[in-house]
Amino acid sequence: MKHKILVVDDEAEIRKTIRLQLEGTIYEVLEAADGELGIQMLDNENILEVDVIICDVRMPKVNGIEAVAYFRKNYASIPIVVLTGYPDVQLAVDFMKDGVVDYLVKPVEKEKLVEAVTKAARQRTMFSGAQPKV
Amino acid sequence: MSTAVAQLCDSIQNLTTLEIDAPRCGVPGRDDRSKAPEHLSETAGDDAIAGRNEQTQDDRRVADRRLGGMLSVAPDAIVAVGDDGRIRVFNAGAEKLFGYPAGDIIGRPLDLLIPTRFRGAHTGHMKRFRMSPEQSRLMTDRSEIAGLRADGSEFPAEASVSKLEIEGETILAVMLHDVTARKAAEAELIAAKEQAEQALIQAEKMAALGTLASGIGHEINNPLYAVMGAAEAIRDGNDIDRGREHANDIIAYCKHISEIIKNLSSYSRPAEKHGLNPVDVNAAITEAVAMARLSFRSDVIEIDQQLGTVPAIAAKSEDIQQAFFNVIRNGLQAMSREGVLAITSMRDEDHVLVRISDTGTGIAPEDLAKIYDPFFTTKGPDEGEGIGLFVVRQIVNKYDGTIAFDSALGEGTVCTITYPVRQSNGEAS
Repeated sequence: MKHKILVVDDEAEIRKTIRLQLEGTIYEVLEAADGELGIQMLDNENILEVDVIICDVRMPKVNGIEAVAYFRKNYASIPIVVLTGYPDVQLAVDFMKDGVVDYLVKPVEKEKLVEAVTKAARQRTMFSGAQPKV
Repeated sequence: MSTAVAQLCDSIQNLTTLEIDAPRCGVPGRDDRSKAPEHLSETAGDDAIAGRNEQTQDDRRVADRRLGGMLSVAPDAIVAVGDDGRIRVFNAGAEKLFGYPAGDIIGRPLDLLIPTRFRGAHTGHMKRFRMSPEQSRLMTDRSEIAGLRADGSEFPAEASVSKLEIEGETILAVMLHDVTARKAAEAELIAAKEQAEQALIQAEKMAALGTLASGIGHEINNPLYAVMGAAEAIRDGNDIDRGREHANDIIAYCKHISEIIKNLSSYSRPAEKHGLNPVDVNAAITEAVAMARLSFRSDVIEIDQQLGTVPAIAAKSEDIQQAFFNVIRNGLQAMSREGVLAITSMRDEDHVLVRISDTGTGIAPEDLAKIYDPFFTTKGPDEGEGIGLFVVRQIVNKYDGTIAFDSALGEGTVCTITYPVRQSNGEAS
């Protein structure tokens, strides 16, 4: 069974790129076009369906900071990877303190993204007991 | 001189216990008949008249001496002029200021102390003042006042003139002081103020660039990431058709990046050095919107541009663009979630009128008067320094334009900017 990755990013080209980079792995991409939609998808779906969240920072409606705070509070068992165009040390520190698994700055190489997602998925399996394979 | 005035003069002299040195204070004493003003001797006629005149002259000298005694203790330069426009009193302050010994100048025309170019106007002013019911007048609120020194140099002066009726003659006492130092200090202050304003404009530009740089980082990193992802897919894939698809994506992403860089270079373009150029207001709006989109990209804020046919204005395009950018940025920041930013341009007789409205938080009535104040801001510490609208107003004033804000809390804000049309060549649409 493929592990489901929820990509929360308002840029269609970014969602497409992540999908491309995760192609051929054990990860399947679900897309949310902003933070609000990402929250709705989790609230409406069975949470066990999502194994890792990849979240952008700058988005309309509900931005990445607000969305991550919501995910951590309500879905603490889902690991989060932040993927942003803003290299901001303070922001990275704040996210890590909040329990985010990794903070990646675009453009990120395929191998690094897969590595970060794998690390996050392992954390997820600690809760569910399943073993992810890349 | 009336007895009462004479007594007053004597009292002042006694009080101050100053020894009055008549020539020093610029009043010809009894021993200075040779230096007496010419006009006094010219009035001499027959013996009887001469006798009366002599008495009158003696009285006048006594009066002048007493007046001089009173004036000699004044720190300012005081010059008194008789009906005939000749100098009657020239105190120590005046000697120091103009560089003439009193003995040399008493009895000579006041014009000697005034630069040639002001003499005509000055004579007119004095004449009108003599005839007016006013008793005194401050001369500084009038046009420039300048004094002419004995060495031919000039100095800016502040002066007041008072009318004294003495023995039936109207004496005009002019009190002057040299304001060279103050004028220089004022000029320095104005220069410093201009410099500070320039520094603020520069700071605002840097702040805008900072915001822009962070926005540009985001904007460029996104398509760059897409380029990287597509290139990796070509590298790792075997399907020729999919490879072509990825290559086409890369080309599109590169065009996007190039567009961003083009916008940035138009923002950092150096100022035109040779005066003003015809500026296409609509193009300035479009560029400002493009920059604002880079800094505050949002999918839920709609930007509605209704640009009419407007003539060019004479300005520096970067100034006009920056003013629009600052107002648009404020509008976008006021709509943190969603809304409509509407921009219209039109010709309003001999002005170009631009209206920028947002559906944001609005400005509280008590804040409306302060919006142009430097460092006044209602934004958070990371969003603004409070110099945006200050700079906008500087720019609008520079080109004789007008700016007005109309706002309602919770409903939004409308900013109306007008610039006068100065050149008819070049219609923009």
